[in-house]
Amino acid sequence: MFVQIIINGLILASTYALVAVGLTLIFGVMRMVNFAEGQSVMIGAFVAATAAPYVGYIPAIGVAMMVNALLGVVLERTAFRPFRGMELNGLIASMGMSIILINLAELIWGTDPRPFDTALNNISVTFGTVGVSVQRLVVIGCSLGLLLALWWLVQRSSLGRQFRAVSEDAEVASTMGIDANRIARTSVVIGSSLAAAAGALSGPVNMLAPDMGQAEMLNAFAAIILGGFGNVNGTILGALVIGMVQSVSAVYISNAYSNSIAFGLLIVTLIFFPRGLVPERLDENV
Amino acid sequence: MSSAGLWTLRLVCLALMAALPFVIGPFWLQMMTQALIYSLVVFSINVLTGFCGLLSFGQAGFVGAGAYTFGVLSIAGAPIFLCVLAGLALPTLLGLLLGLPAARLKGHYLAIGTLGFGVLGAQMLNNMVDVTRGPMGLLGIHSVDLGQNGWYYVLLVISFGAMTGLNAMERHSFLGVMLKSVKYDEISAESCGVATFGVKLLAFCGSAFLAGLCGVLLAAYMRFLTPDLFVPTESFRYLMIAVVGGAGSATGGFIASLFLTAMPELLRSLGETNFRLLVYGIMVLFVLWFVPGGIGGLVERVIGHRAGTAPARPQTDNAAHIAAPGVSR
Repeated sequence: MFVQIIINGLILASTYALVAVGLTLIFGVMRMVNFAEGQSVMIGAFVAATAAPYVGYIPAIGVAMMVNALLGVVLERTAFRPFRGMELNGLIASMGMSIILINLAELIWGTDPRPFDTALNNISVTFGTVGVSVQRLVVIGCSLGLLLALWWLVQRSSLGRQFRAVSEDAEVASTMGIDANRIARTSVVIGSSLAAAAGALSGPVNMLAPDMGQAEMLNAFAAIILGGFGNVNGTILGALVIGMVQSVSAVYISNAYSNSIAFGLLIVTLIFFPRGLVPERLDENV
Repeated sequence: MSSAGLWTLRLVCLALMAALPFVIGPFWLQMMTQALIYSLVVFSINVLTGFCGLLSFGQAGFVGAGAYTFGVLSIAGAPIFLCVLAGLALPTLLGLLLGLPAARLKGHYLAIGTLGFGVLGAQMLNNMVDVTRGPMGLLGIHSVDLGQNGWYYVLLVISFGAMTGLNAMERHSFLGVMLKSVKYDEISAESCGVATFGVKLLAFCGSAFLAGLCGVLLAAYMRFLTPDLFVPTESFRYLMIAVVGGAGSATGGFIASLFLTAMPELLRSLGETNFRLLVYGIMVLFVLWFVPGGIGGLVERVIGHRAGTAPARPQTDNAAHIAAPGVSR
């Protein structure tokens, strides 16, 4: 039971973390919220499910990430770049894109929920008395790998330094010769492919439907706010807290209220820590 | 345009709207009636987001609270004025309770905090089966029988009245100036003696009241409620309508809610598939690209400049960063 709860919590947390880290990256660079991130999860899951019979499951995740990288370029061009400095319009534009993506997916893949079966779903390993399918371990392992890769990218690489420079101060960064538009585009590409990975990884554990992804996105928002906006480490911590709380409360309190409990916790946290657990540095100019 | 000219224009529009039942069929009349109801929740976003600059992702929670309070009480056999009163009081109270913590939050923290309220509200409507009947839906709500035309005219008067009232409040009252001072520069407003916390709380209560009114009217008109009508996706849709209409303009909100409610049905000629919703999404993008001020901004440009009570919009610090010289569009 205990192992089961931990594993379930980690699966939820890793999905939320992948989505949330992408959102945080985009927010950090452009100060804009990508409302189509949930639909990127959905597109990623469907692309992976379509590609898996031909290339196998693990390469299919890569295919999904590449397709979503292209989608990221389109998203940045249509929903972000035209709305610099107009946050609210950008927000609604990404909502418009999410409507377009949902209906595009329904046109391509139909409206019926479908299972996404992989061979890994049927193999299981036992920890003491509980059997856990390899698929679930793959979800956790791959997410951890991707998050570590992102951490390396942001903290150690030259591209990461440019990311941090633009999110610190876009104006000064661009006078230093950093192409802010390229960084913005890259951030959406990375965010969108991480969402694809989240969809492709969690797809086999759940069902696929064109309206999936919304719950992941809402919970990712909660994780971001809990961790403090624009902060990758805090976001991962927030995702871990939200995932674990949902997993524990689904067993001990009520499954039907598991989202409410996570968001209730969020509201209580915001009452005492109005800027999240790891506050973002924010200067207010008069 | 002069004040008299403006009033003539308004009356002509009202007369045209009033003539609508004689022109369009019952299906479209029903559509327009619903659009008029939803215009009230768009006004509630105008008050909170457009005038006061507070982003809310939880409006559907207030609408749901109003609608279900009215519905549950009327099924229990309470007199109708009591149902209406309670259906307005509960959302307003919730607005106050949410506003107390939320008015201290900034930007996206506020948005997600209100989203939390929306998620909680939707899940409670779904799970409190013994009160709300949950996913089975609330059937058999008693309300006044006005007939289709009657409802249309009542709602037209309410919605048009609310729009005119909000416009007047925004442009010609001190309250409007205070609300907008909080939006444009909170610190300067505070240093000029505006009680920003109180103003925000008032905006929350007023907004929740309007959203609750929308809920009550929705329940009384439709007489059937399901929790699906009040999920966070609906909050996002309301926000979308408000922004397409121009967040700070009640007139734009009114036009946008009529337009965007009717649009998916108008596009039915394109076929029954998802293609029409695809087109709908693309149209929203087009409005945002080419008319950044929304329909309200367009209307103002056409009929000339508004009364000069609003301060010129200063750039916020974030906007200044993003609009950096090196960052081209």
